[in-house]
Amino acid sequence: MTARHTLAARIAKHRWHYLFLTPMVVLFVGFTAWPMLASWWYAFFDWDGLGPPTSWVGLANFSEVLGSPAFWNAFKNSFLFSLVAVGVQMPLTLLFAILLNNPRLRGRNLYRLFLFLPVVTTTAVVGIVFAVMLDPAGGFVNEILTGVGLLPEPVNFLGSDRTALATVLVIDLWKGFGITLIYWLAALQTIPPDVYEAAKVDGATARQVLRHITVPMLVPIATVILLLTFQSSMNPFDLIQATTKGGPNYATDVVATYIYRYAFDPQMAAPRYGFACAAGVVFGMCTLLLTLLQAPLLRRRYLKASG
Amino acid sequence: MSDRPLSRRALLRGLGAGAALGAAASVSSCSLVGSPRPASKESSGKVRLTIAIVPDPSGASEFYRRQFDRFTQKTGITVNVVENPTEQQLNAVELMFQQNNPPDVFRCQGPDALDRFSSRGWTAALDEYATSSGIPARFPEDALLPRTSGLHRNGKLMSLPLVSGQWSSGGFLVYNKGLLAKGGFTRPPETSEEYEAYARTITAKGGGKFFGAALSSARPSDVNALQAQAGPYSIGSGIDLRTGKVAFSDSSLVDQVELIRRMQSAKIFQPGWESWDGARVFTEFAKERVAFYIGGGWHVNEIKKLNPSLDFGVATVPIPASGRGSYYGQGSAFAPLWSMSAKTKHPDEAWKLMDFLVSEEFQKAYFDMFRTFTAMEGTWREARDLSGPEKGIIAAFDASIRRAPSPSTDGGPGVQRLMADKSAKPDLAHGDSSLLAITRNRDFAPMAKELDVKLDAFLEQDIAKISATELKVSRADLTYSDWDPLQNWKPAA
Repeated sequence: MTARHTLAARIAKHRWHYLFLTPMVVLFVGFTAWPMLASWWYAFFDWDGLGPPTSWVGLANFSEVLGSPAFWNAFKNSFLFSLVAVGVQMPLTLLFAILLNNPRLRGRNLYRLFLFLPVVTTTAVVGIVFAVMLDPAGGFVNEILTGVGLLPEPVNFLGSDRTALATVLVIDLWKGFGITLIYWLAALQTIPPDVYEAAKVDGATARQVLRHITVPMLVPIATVILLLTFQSSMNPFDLIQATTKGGPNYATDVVATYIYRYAFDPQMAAPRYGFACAAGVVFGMCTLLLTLLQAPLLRRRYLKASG
Repeated sequence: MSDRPLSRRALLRGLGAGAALGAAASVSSCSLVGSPRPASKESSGKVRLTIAIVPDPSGASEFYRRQFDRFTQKTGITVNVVENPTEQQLNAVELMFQQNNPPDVFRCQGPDALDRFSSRGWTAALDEYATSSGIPARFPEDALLPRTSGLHRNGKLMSLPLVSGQWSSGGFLVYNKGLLAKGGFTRPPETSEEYEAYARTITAKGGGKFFGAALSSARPSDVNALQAQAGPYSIGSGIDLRTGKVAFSDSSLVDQVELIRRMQSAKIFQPGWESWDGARVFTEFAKERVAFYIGGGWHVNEIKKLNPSLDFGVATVPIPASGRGSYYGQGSAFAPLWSMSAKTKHPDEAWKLMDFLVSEEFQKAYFDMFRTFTAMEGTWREARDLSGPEKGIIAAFDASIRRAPSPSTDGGPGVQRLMADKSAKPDLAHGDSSLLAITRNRDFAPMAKELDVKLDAFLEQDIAKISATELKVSRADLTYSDWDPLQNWKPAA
C-alpha cells in the first residue's frame, strides 16, 4: 500500500516528465517494439502476410534459414559492408577530419561540403549515375582506364561477380564517407584548444600531438562513432537495389535484399513473410551478438581513455 | 481570460501535452483503419469509385485520367485513381483490402496475382454481368471458356484482359537494319546458328562501339525464348507436359544455355547486361549499340520514342537449324489484368467501369496511345497506321505462338495448387543455374540433372502433401499425351 502510494506520489510529482515522455514511448512501442515482437511471433508460422497467421511450423523457418547457403552468403556480404565501414571508412574519415579540422587549411568548409554531398544525394540517383559511369561499353571510367593504358580491356564492374561486390563496397564507402567525417569533426571540436597550445609550448611534434593528445581524447566518442557506423553499415539495401539488385549470381546479395526477395518481391507468387521474419530475427540476433562482443573491449578502452 | 503572459514553462507544458495527444491519436488511429470506410456516395448523390492502377507505361497516368473523365461524362460516375508503383501494386492493394478499404476496381496483373486475390475471396465473379453486357462477343470465339480463358478461377470469371493473349505470351527478334548491313547481312538471323554467327561478325566489326547481340536483362528471358522454338515450351519451367516428367536436362534447354554461354565467353554480347534492368536493352538498342536482341511487345513503341529515326524491324525468334521443334506456348486466351472487388459497395457502377475498360473505345484509345495490341483484336489487327515493326510483330506472333496446355490454367484445383507451390520455390527454376553457367562459363548439363532430381523430389513430396488434403493431384495431371507442340492445342471436351 505504502509502495503503491509512494509510486503514485512519484508519478504525480513527475507528471510533466511522464507527459513529455509519452510521445516517444508511444511511438517507440508502436513502431519499434511491436514490429520487433510481432516478427518474432510470425517467424513461427508459414504465413503469406495476409489474415492472421494460422499455420504453426515451430522452428522450421529458423532451421531453413540457418541451413540456407544463400542466407549465409547474404550474411557474409552484409558483414563485409560493416568490415569496410569500420576498418576502412572510419580510419580514413578520421584522417580527413584531422586535416579538415586544421584552421590553417584554406577552403576547408568547401572541402567538407564536397565530401558531405554524397550523403544527401538520393541513392537511386547514385545507382543510375554509377551504372552509367562504370558501364563496360562506353562508360567514362572504362574509357579513361583503357585510354591511358591502365587496363587492356574494359572491366565489367557491376556485372561480374568477381568485381561487383568490391564496386558496391567502394560506392557505399564513398556515399557514407561524409556522415562519418561529420562525426569525427564534431568529436575533434570537443578537444579543448588549450591542450594543443600546451603541447605546442612543450615542443610536441605533430605526430606526438596526434598520438598522445588527439587519438586518446577521441576514444570515448570513437566508441559511439564505431557503434553508429557499424549499425548503419549493416543495411545497404537501397544501394544494392539501385545498382545490382543482389546480382550477379547473388554476389552482392545482402540480408536485407534476401529478406525482401521472400517477403515483397512481386516475382514471388506466394510471399513467405514467416520465413522472411525468421531471416530477419536470425540476422538481428547475429548483429546484436556482434555488437555485444565489441562491448567489453570498447568499455575497457573507454575507461582507460577517460582515466 | 487572464492577462498573465504565457510563461516558458506553461508553453512547454502545452506543447508537450499537445504532442502526446497527437502521437497517441496518430498511433491509435492505426486500429481505426480497419473500420469500414464510409459509403462513397458524394453529397450530390453521385457514386465515386476508386480504381488502383500503376503508372505504366510512361504517360499512363494522364491517359487513364482522360479516359476516366470521359467515363464520368458518360455515366455520371466519378473515378478516384490510386496509383502505385508497379512493383508495389500487389502489396499496396492487399493492404487496402486488409484495412477494409479496398478499391472498387484494381489492376491485378498476371495469373499468379489473380490466384493470390481470388483465393482470398477478394475478386468478384463477373459472369452474370459479362453475359448480360455481351462481353464474350468482343473477343475471339471460345476465348472466354472457363477452362482455358486464363481469366477464370474455380469456373468463375474473375478478371478481364487489357492486352491480347499473344502479346503476353511471346517475344520476337528486334533488329537494326543499319548494323546488320555493316556486318554484311541483308536479313535478320533465322536460326540459332545464324544468331551466333551474325552476332559474332557484327561484334567483331563494332570494335567495342556496337555489338551483334544483347541479352534482355540481368535475369535474361532469352534462354526460354530460344528453348520454346526448339522444344515444348513447358520444358523451360522443368516439366515436359507431353510425358509429365521433369525435363531440365532436355537438349532443347541445355543447348540454348550452352549457346548463350558460348557467346558470352566469346564476348559477343554487349557487356554489362548482368546488372541491367528490363528497360536497358531497348535503350541500348535505340542508341544503335546492338544489332539485334529478343524483346517483348512494348519495346517497339519505347524504341520509337527514344530514337524516332531508327530504321529497325521485327522478326521471329531464331529456330534451330534442324527446324522448328515447337512454338511459344500460349497457355491461356488472355492474361488477367482488371479485377472487381468482391467488397465493392457499388457493384453495378464498378461493373460499368469494368465494361468501359474492355470497350472498343477504351481498347482502341489504349492501342492508339501506347501501340500495345489490346485484347480486342479488331482495334489493331487491321489498323491502317501500323508501322513496319508493328506489322512485323503481328507476323512474328502469328508465326511463333501456338495455343498449348498449362496445368495452372486448365488443370484442376489440386494441380493448380501444385504449380503455385512450385512457383513459390525459385530454386526449382533453372534461372539461377543457367545464369551461373553463362556468367561463370560452366557446363550446364550437370546442373540441369541436379535440378531434375530436386524438382522430381519436390513434385513427389508436394503431390503427397496436397493429396492428404481435400484436393487431389497426381502426375497424370501434368501429362497431356494428346499435345503436339507443333499444333494449336485444344482441351478434349
